Amino acid sequence: MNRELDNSAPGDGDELASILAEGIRSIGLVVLVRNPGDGVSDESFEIVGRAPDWLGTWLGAETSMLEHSPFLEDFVNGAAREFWDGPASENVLRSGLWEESPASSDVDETSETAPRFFEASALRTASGKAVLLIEPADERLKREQAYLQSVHVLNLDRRHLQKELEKKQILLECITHDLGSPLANELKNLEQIARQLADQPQLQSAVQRAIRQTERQRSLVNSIAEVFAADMAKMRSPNADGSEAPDLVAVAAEVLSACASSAAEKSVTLCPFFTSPLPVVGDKVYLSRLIDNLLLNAIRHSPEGAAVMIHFDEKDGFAMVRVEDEGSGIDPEEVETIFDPFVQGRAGGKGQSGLGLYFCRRTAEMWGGRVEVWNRPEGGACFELWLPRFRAVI
Amino acid sequence: MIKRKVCLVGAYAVGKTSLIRQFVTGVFSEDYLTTVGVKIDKRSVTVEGQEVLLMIWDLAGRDEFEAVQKSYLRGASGFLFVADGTRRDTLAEVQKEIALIVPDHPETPAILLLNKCDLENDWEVDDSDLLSFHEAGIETMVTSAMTGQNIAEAFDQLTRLMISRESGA
Ligand SMILES: Nc1nc2c(ncn2[C@@H]2O[C@H](COP(=O)(O)OP(=O)(O)OP(=O)(O)O)[C@@H](O)[C@H]2O)c(=O)[nH]1
Ligand SMILES: [Mg+2]
Repeated sequence: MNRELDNSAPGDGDELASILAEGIRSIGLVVLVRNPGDGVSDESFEIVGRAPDWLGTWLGAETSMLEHSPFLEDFVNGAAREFWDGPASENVLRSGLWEESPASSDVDETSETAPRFFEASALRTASGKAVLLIEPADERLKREQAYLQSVHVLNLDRRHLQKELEKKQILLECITHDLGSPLANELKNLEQIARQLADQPQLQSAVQRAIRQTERQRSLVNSIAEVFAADMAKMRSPNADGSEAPDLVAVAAEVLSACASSAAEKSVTLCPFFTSPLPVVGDKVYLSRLIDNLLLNAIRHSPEGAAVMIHFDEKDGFAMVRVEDEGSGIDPEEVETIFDPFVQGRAGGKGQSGLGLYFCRRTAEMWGGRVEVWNRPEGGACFELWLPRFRAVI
Repeated sequence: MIKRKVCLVGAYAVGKTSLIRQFVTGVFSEDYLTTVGVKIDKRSVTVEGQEVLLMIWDLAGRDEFEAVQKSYLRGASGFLFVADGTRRDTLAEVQKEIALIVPDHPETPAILLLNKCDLENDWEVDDSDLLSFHEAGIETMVTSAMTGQNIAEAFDQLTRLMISRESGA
């Protein structure tokens, strides 16, 4: 490399030099050579071959290039000079990319053809001549720019999202503690008042109305809190923190016993068909809320004295719990929207917020699972919750 | 008129390009286009009767793994380190840069700018976070490239430090 560049110096009259110069020009490279012992001013640099057309516009005449370009001046009189004058350790010193502003004012800045990003390299010939290469770098810049831009924007977005989630967490705490807890107390007080007013039927019914309203408010607060919590469960990616993977069967069993009284009120029989444990990806607390939602939904839509069947299964790395009821089923139009928020169909109606099934779907999807629904041929609805089987990382 | 090189260093998207643009052309844009390579802008300031042409180097702010290329910093007369007051981690990153740069330029004046002070609600930095910078002798200023707050003051102050250091030496 060094030899050839040496040969290509002006005045050599070497054929190879002119071929080389033409080749270099065709890729837009500007080659300048300075004789050893010259001063530091750029006047001593001479262009090899013919200068590309854009050179004058962007960097000025070769004699005033350094005056025009502070970056090039800094490089040539700084790091490059040290490189040329110092011991020959490295073969080449690169300046890094820089952006130039046009040297002449009548430049059409929007013109696509002229480069405006460059990189310079300092080289040395075997005989000690200083060589300066200036390379248009727009293409390279575009690639690097696109890549870095996407990385930076992605990082900024992720940060932004995390901040939003923190804000949500605070809001969630406000909802559950500042709104939810007082409602629970109020309810207790109202129930106590109702007991004491047993002999005053008129006041009694007013208090009962207040109790029902408060209960509705509390259930709404709980539902909103659940949806918020589901959003955050996503970010927390369950079990990643080493928390134990919940057993779908065991959690369902717990929820079943908790729902027993609601079922008994309507003389609904809960019929579970338990299997061996099925550890799944998920958070135990949210998983029980999720199953609770499905079970209560089934009980609510069961006619008096009917049965609710609970089956478990596994397939293709997923575990499943199925809740079947003997109610009237789901309107065909509703099948598509039943998991959307605030749908007041089957999910809502009887004092429900319409967020319960939305919460189920969101949570299941966040954990990599899904909720499916269809009507049983023999009548009633069937909900299936599928969650990825948990596999401990070894 | 004398000419001096000033470098802006800091993590990505803290507002280095925006600060320079506001200082040089009085324009601010919400758009973010990450800087690749180096762009040099010029503006002159006058401090203590001395007119100084600042050659302002906008250096690409890299991520936590990549420090600024040292060769760019050669011959700098002053540094403006920049952090984003709404992203506390950018302070840690600028601290890392400072640890790499200052030992090579022990006498070079530097100021730390906490930018984006217009975003009060998202502000994440408090005085105790700045203690270590003050102990290292680095002044801090709160700026906004959006409103222009403190930008000219920061460049003036840096130039003043540069001039007084040169005349004192
Ligand atoms: N609100 C507000 N936004 C700002 C301020 N300064 C910069 N920004 C915005 O922050 C983003 C990043 O600004 P840039 O100036 O490109 O940041 P940079 O430090 O040059 O980034 P890199 O080139 O990637 O290192 C842009 O969207 C700017 O509009 C400020 O003071 N206030
Ligand atoms: Mg920038």
